[in-house]
Amino acid sequence: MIMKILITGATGYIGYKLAMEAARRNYTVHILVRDLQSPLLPEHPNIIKFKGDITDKGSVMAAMRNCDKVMHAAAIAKLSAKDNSIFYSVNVEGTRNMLDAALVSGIKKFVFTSSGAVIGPSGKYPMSENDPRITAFENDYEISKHWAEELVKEYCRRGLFAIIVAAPRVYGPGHECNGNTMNMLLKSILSLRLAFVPSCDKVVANYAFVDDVVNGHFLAMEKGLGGEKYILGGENLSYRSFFQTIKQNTGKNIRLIPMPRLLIKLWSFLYMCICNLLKKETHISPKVIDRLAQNRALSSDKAVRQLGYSITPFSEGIQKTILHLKNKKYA
Amino acid sequence: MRNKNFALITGASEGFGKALALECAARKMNLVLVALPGSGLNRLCCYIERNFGVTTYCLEHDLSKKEECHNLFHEIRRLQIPVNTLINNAGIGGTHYFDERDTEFYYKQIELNVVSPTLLAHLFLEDLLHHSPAYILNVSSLASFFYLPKKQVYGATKSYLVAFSKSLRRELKGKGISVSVICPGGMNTNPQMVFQNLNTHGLGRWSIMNPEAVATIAIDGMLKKKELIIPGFWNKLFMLFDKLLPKCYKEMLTDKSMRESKTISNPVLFSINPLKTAV
Repeated sequence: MIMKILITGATGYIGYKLAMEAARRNYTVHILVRDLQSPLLPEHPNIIKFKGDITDKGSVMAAMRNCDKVMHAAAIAKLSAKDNSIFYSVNVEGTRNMLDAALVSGIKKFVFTSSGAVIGPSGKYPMSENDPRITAFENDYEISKHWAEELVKEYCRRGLFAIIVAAPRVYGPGHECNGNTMNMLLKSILSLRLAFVPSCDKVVANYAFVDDVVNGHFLAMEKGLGGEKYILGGENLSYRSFFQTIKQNTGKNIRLIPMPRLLIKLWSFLYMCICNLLKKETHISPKVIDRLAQNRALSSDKAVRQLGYSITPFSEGIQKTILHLKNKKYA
Repeated sequence: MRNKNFALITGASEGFGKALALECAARKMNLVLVALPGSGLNRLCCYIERNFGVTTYCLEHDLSKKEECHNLFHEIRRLQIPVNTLINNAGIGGTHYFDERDTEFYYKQIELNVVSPTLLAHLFLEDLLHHSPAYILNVSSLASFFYLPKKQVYGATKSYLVAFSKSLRRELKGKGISVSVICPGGMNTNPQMVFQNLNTHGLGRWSIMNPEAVATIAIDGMLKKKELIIPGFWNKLFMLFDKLLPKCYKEMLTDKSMRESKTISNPVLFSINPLKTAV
């Protein structure tokens, strides 16, 4: 019998890949999209499009009809927005609509895509699922995703079989959109042939290859335990090795220019002011730069152990990404 | 030399208590952490032991019950933990008009904010004298100086802690126990507070601090044996205004901001987790 799955966020970076992968695996894929004319829609004979919005429960119910499984990847995935209430209406209320509908429709497995941002900065060792958050939440995005996770856990107690997966900074071939800051960075490095390396180059963060993350979603759906959370990460890298690896894999002479953090902060402040004056939306602010200066190492051990999750080495992932960007004539 | 003494921190599972625990651990203090049962204290203990290599006990007690304060003391006696630092942090906050909560709420608030620190200081006094140099740090609030609407009982319980600390400090002078009191302003203690603070505008917003930053100042001040610790530039400025401005101006300023301040609550949480919004 053909399994039916509803995937939200299918015009986004991860959601698109999830939909295509599910279609490839012979699922009948329902996708819930706001705009049926969007150029970012995944196209495949197994994919059926439903017009709607996760904030509209009626449309969620319609799209979920006859489905066995759900992957909920839709979210406002950025750090700031002009109207911060959208983080709560979409990421929290939208998730609640999804969970409610899933409980009513008797969905067998529900995978919720959360973020490494909920876990926050790391201490001496990479953070795992059970570690407590060690600093205060910093922005609406983090809080909204945290609350969404709390909701998922609550619905698990009510009887829904739901699994949370958390993705850190994700890179790899895919859409150019909000969720894909890593590709934007790579693109600019490739076209400018230089990169500014922050002076805090020992700061470590986790970088996950998008194919691993997508694969991890399906592994979580097959083998994940209800109510559990799994970090789907990649390698933990310092900025130094991050930029060095990129440089080595471009096949070009990229200049790495060390840059004091204070200067970057000043630049970000000026950039933010200019954007504000031009009424242009920007995600760069001194606060964001401070965020980038915190260690954010993550451990995917639980997913590796319990789900059989595997991590693509960063150099291999970056090679594939650069090849993809070159084919799209960005470099 | 490995530190043999222990710091006892109440209300350590979340917010400022958690930040104080992490701060003390970073300074290689061994810890006894106390919080309500089922508040995730165990995870914090595991994290601290693994990352900082200090000995950490986690004990679950509801300190708003006086028997539990005694139980905690006896448990620590039984375990023979040498406590040389007592940090009374556990408390119940809240911003609401007097008639918006029932008597039970205020009773509990007074028990936890006033009775429990008093009992613990009394119970552990002998141990502290025995392990001097010793420290008592009571966590009060800036609300203890400004008699704000919607903070009647809370502010009064915190004023008690200031008076209690200052007086006890004089009494214990020269006996090897330093008593300090910290009065923080608004802090990003939990997701609900961060949410509220992100949606606050005006002067109030500037003075909001992260608990990690306040914890560093708190422990610094405690170890330097300061009497009264006011963290942050804005909070210090508020204190200065308090001294300089005439009463009518102050009331006008605070009145406006307090009446505007609503407890902004996320409707989602009311339906899923009523416990979280109670504090």
